[in-house]
Amino acid sequence: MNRKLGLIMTVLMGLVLTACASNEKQVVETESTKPVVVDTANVDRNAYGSGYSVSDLASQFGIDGDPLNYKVLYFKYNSSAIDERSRIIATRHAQYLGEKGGLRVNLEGHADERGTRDFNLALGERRAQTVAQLMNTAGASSAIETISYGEERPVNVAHTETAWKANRRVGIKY
Amino acid sequence: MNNLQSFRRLLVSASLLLASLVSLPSYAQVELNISGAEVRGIPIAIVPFKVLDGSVLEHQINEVIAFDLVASGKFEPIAAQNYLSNPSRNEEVQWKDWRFIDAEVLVIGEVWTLGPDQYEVQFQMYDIAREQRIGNGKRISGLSMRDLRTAAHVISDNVYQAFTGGAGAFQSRMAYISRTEVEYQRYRYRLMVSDWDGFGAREVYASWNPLLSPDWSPDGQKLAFVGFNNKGSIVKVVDLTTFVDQTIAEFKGVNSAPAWSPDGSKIAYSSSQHGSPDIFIYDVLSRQHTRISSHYGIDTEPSWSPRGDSFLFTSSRTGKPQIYSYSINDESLSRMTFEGDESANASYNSDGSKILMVHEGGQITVMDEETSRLTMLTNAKFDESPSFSPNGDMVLYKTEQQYEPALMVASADGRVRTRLSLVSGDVREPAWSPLRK
Repeated sequence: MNRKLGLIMTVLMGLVLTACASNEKQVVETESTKPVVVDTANVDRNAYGSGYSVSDLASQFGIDGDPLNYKVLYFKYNSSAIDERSRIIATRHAQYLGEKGGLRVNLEGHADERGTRDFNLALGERRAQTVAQLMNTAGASSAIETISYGEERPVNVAHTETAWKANRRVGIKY
Repeated sequence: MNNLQSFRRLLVSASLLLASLVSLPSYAQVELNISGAEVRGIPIAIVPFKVLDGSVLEHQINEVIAFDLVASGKFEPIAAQNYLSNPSRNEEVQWKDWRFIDAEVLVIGEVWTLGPDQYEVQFQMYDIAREQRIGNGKRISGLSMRDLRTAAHVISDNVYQAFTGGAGAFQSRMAYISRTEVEYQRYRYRLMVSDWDGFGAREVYASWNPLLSPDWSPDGQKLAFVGFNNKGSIVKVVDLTTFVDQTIAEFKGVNSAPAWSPDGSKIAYSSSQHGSPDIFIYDVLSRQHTRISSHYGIDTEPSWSPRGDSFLFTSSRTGKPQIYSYSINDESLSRMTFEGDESANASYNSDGSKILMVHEGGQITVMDEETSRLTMLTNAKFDESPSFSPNGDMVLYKTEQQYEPALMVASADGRVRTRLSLVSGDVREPAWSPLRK
């Protein structure tokens, strides 16, 4: 089993290396000042139904590939408003769920440590509810449950902006 | 020569130290156990109690009394090494010994061993300025070794009453939540009850899910608190004598922030069973739930007025959390806080003249009910869960010191802050009990 895995890894690495090598070759060949013509007609401006191209998803929102691979949405302080990144991810999940049909979905809302614990319980729920609403509107057609842990289950316990940012979240679970 | 040089060096470093102390910014006072100095407490001498058979006590009565009285902000104990005599009986008291060290109050006493683990404590109080004994001295009997701390708290209450005219709160208790990591990322949450100073903590409820927001019944017999089932947060009540617990609110959504009414007949709480968190009132006898508020904003953290005819609560109806008051009788609403971005988790003191709250997300603040004037008790950013002592003279809250959670007591004027170092570990959500009945 392990040997098989090793073999696969070697093949994969080989592929990666050739990919790199061919990229280098291209760089060497492009010596003319003539602009490279890119066939814009063929670029998918609506990758994964997001309304953005794959490269825009990566550069603007840090979403590499299918937004379905992202399961945590982040929020501003004291806010349950959904930003564009969260909208893209939640909508993609809703589409997927709509296609699959009948899955149970759990949305887990959280808050950062600032503010009082009881208020943060409410805030975490509000965030989860906002995501649930969006996913329902986007055709999730699934049983979506929300639960809030407020500030009780942080992913990062530091008292820093970075930690707070990571903790203000809704996790999509199904 | 050499000696002189080193003496000079010492002088220089001493004055440097002094200079650095003087130039300390005011927030550095948080680092000290006791801070502030404009108004002084009453200078008090508490003589180490004489133990008649010479047995060794686990706790020094004079030290427990001193700790109590310092925390109130109304007394300033004089260190025992400055005493010129150590009287334990009335006839041994020399007025001049105490005037010399500027003591205004003197407390003396004795501990008698009456049998195996059976003690009696006697004490006397003196007004040094008037050269008067207060009362005739008192005896507290039927004590075990463990009760000696309770006896000390009784003496503290007597001193407090005699020299401030108000009721002491040193026989009260506190509840708090303790969290321990049993295995990697697996936590045990325990609801604890201890003496007001953190001594004698015992578990009254435990869970693998988060616990928060404990609130005492007015008779001190029960605690309402928030726990979790697999669907979300629920409101529970535990009896402190039988340890039997019951769930009083487990509706869809968030159920949280329980608050007993002053007569104990109702528990106000927040529930989002209709989608958005609203205030509900649970009637203990009939077990009926009545919805009180119905705004789309977050309404939570209800807390009753001393008369029980209104309650304060936190609402985000204007965007950010602020304090509102709801009157039960005329069903009217008034906004209480306007200063700053955020105010939350408010509660009244025993006579309703002051409102305690968390300001700007983590600063413990007292607001005068009439003038709305704010007094900041702390300067930190992450302080939380404040509650008044039953006599309103002190405030218990949770802070963090050197990245460690700590329970603190501040005098209500903000002058003195005392750490309750008997409680350690990952502790949070302290709540001060009513007076023992």
